[in-house]
Amino acid sequence: MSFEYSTLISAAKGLREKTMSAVELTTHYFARMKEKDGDLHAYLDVQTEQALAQAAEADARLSNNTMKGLLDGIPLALKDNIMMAGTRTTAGSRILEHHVAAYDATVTKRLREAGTIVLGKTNLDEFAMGSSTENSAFGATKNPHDLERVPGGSSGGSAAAVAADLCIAALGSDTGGSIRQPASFCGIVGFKPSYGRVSRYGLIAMASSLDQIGPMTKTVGDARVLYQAIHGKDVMDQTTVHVEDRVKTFSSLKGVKVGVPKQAWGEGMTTEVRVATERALSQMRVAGAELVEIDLPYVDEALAVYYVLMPCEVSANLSRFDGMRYGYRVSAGTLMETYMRSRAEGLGAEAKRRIMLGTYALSKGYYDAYYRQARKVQVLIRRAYALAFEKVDVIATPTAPSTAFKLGEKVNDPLAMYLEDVYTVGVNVAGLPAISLPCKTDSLPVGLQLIGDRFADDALLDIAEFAEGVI
Amino acid sequence: MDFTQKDVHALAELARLQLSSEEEQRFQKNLADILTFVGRLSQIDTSSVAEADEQCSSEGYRTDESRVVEGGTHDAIIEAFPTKVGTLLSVPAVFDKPKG
Repeated sequence: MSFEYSTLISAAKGLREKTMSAVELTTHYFARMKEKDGDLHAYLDVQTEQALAQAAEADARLSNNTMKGLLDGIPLALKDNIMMAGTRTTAGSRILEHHVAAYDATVTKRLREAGTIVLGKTNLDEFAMGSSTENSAFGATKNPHDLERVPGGSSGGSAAAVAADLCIAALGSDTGGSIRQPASFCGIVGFKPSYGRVSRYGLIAMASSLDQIGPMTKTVGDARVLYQAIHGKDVMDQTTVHVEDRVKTFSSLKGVKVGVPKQAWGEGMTTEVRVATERALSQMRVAGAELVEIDLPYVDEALAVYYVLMPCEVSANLSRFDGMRYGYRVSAGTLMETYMRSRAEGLGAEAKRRIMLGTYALSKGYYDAYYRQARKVQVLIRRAYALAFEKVDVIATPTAPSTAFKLGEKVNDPLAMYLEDVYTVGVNVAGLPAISLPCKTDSLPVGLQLIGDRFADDALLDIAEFAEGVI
Repeated sequence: MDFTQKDVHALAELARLQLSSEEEQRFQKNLADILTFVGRLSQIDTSSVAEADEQCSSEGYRTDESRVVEGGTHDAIIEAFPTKVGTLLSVPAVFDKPKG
């Protein structure tokens, strides 16, 4: 039996047909990690004992026909800002280097209940702030397609682990593009569900009005299975809602209206991205999709809106890391010194930069000019998308303006790094679902982003699955 | 957007961050660059946006009840304290010079 690059669905079939056991599958992934992860550094922690015990339990269910569902016995990886009780959860930060999670995140709990095996926790930019995984306090992750390049970020560890086949699939989190951009760089599928679809209870918060957890997988079908397991209302996250999906079913790409925003397809992307994504779009047209040029006014302001709202929320969310109740504490003379030195030594440069920016934008005299104005432009962006979705079923853009860049290339230029999010942030600012699909390329991977209407996640996944077959 | 190093220092204090002089200089430039970039938002006419449109809607409020957590969780929280005395969280004194 070959386990090579198993998808979730093929592995689930293999387990049922008894061509493999969950223990064999899990052992196989640990062996692959041993061989490959020294170079890649996709994982921060590996849970060998716990995973093998979970696998043995899954095998027991398999042999007495009490299997739970497709996810039973499937080895996954979790981004290390998602809590798993009893194991270290660092969020990629020195300040949480020795932090052991006291409880399970809702997504972790749901995955456990579905019988999955958690192989380990994957690397990320500190507190999910970054687009390259270079901001991790524990060293950068490398891109499996070229070890001199970044895997993207912030969910770079999860993306690299899936792309290098060091797990069947993984969870990431996406605040401005952190699932989709690394998926694009590593040549895998990355799905950010609508805001409100997946509970963030137990996700270490970055910007709460934008954060969303989602699957990073080898296929759209796998993303759907994971999404179905983790989504739904949760009393512990008041933003989760029970809203029926907007039903619009397609049986192929025939008749699907794909919006092509003129703002996104102008300047600003490299030739290789343009060639690969335009070819993908024309393949979709050949398969029956109708390409419609659309206007998305204000959406090119989304990056500026994001870089006001997000740091404001970061400065509030990260105020809890002060060395008092958990994490790193430097005991200094006074309380104030203890706060300031604990944070100074525990937090990295990007986290500090965003905290400072947010503190400034929220301070007296600047709040109206920055935060309120950004909230107003956010409303205009939402309206623009809503208007566009009256005419089209999905919107297509490149996921990222370039292919994976070299390690060190942008790490000292925050604005250049922020521009990585130019095609992805609009989706978070408007609370929409979006998915990055790998395009056919001759060299480094390129992602095509498909954006759906709010709470039309299932329809987006349907269309993405048809597109996946032709691009 | 102009920032003096003194502004950055004051901001760092508000943010409870002790910065080195080198960090202050770096952030002085970084913050100015970023604020210049986001400054483009001030050019946008937002008069069509009513105040109510800006509000977050929340549909899932729950009653905030106090619950007894399981023993394991309770112990894990105490275990995570940076410094403790017995099972109590130990923190520095709030006042610098407590009354003798």
